[in-house]
Amino acid sequence: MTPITDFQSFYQTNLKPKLAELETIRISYAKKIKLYGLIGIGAGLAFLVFKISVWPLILIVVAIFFLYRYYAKRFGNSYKTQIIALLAQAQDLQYDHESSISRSAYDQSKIFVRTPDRFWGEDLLTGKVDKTGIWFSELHTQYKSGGKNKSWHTIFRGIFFIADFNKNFIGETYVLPDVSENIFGSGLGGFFQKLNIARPQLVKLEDVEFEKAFAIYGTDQVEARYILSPALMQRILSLKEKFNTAVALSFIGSHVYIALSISKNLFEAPWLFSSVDNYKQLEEYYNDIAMCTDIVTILDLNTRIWMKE
Amino acid sequence: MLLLGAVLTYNNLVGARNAVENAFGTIDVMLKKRYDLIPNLIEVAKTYMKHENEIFTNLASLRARATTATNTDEKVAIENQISGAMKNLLISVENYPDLKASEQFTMLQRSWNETEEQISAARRAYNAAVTAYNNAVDKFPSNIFAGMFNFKRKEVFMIAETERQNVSAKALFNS
Repeated sequence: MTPITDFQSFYQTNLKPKLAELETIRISYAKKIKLYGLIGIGAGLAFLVFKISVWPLILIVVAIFFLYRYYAKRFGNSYKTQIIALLAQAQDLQYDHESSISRSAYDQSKIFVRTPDRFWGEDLLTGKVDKTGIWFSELHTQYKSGGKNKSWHTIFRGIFFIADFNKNFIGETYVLPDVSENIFGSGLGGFFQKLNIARPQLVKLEDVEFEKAFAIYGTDQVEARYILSPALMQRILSLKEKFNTAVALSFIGSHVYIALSISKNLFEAPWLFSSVDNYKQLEEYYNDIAMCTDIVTILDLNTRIWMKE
Repeated sequence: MLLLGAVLTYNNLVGARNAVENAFGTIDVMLKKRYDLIPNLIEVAKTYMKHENEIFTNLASLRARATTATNTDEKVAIENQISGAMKNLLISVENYPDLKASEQFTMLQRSWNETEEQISAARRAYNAAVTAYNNAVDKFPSNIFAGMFNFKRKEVFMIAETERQNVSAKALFNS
């Protein structure tokens, strides 16, 4: 894996040429929009000046908006498949901007009790960090509230991360934000109250700091402690600190599932009227990916001193 | 109403006590697993380590004592000695690269780490159960029933200072 300090040289040798290619595409798109825009708005203004009607101008503005959307999408796809994929490759990951963590994996994690009515995701990254397989993507799940005024509420929005866990276990263990910490957003108040009924037994752990931050549930008291060793509890706390956000985990079927609540949309192309060659932004995307692969190190998932290979 | 309260409080105490017994049973199971591993480990290590007979005999006798020990305090003391003896063995292994590299030994060491981790988890579960039980015994109003029906406080497992550094087994493994 390329360390972060190498980003500068990686940028110069690998990214620069690709960026140059993309930049010509972007300029051609931007030119087209400007040209059609000027002609269209000119014509629309002419209608206005001669007091024929205001409608042509409005229609033209709408049309230009859709034209922009069309080109922005095309450009965005090339940006992701060429630039973001390269950033992922530099860290030994595969990238697919159209895929996400699957609905079934999300359901299997059982982190969120409420069944989503809308499931959306993109930017799937997969790979291996040493011995540990990882999968993560952006996810946004919502439910529809009933009654007359139907509206959508967020269940989860952020990065959903799955990794092989380094110990064998058969039950289910959950590490959820403590009920009092209402951090997954206002729409989730109900979700937390439901917890007690929907979850297996409460597991009281001896780490006070950890207990303060999380509520732990498990099907087996001993197994929950086998998974959540004192070291891992500290590591989960540092994970929470590093991402500085609400973190929920579940340990099920030889995997650890981690929901990181984040509201920004990751890996988006810049808009068409600014240069694609934005060093700061590219470095940020690179670091975003690195931060996720780093979870393996933070949680020490590559230590394989137990029975699991 | 009062009677119902009394019944619930009493049942709560019994439940807490049973949880403690159950948790203790789990530790026993894990410890047995560890006893079973010792002869295998000795067997494999012996073929490579010709000059460490002392460690082996010590481990073997500790194991024999542990399986026959009846009272808890004695058991705990022996357990701590076993952990110490194992640590000595693992340190000595450093001098025998062939043994360290042998797949059989690596597997045994993995299962040793596994049972150590399981035992530590079982102990922590036991301590949590004891704490919950002691709280019930001490707190009002259940302390009244605890007195009446002879529910006594129980001791939590103390982990010996030498054993707290158990993580070093990992360091050995990685080196």
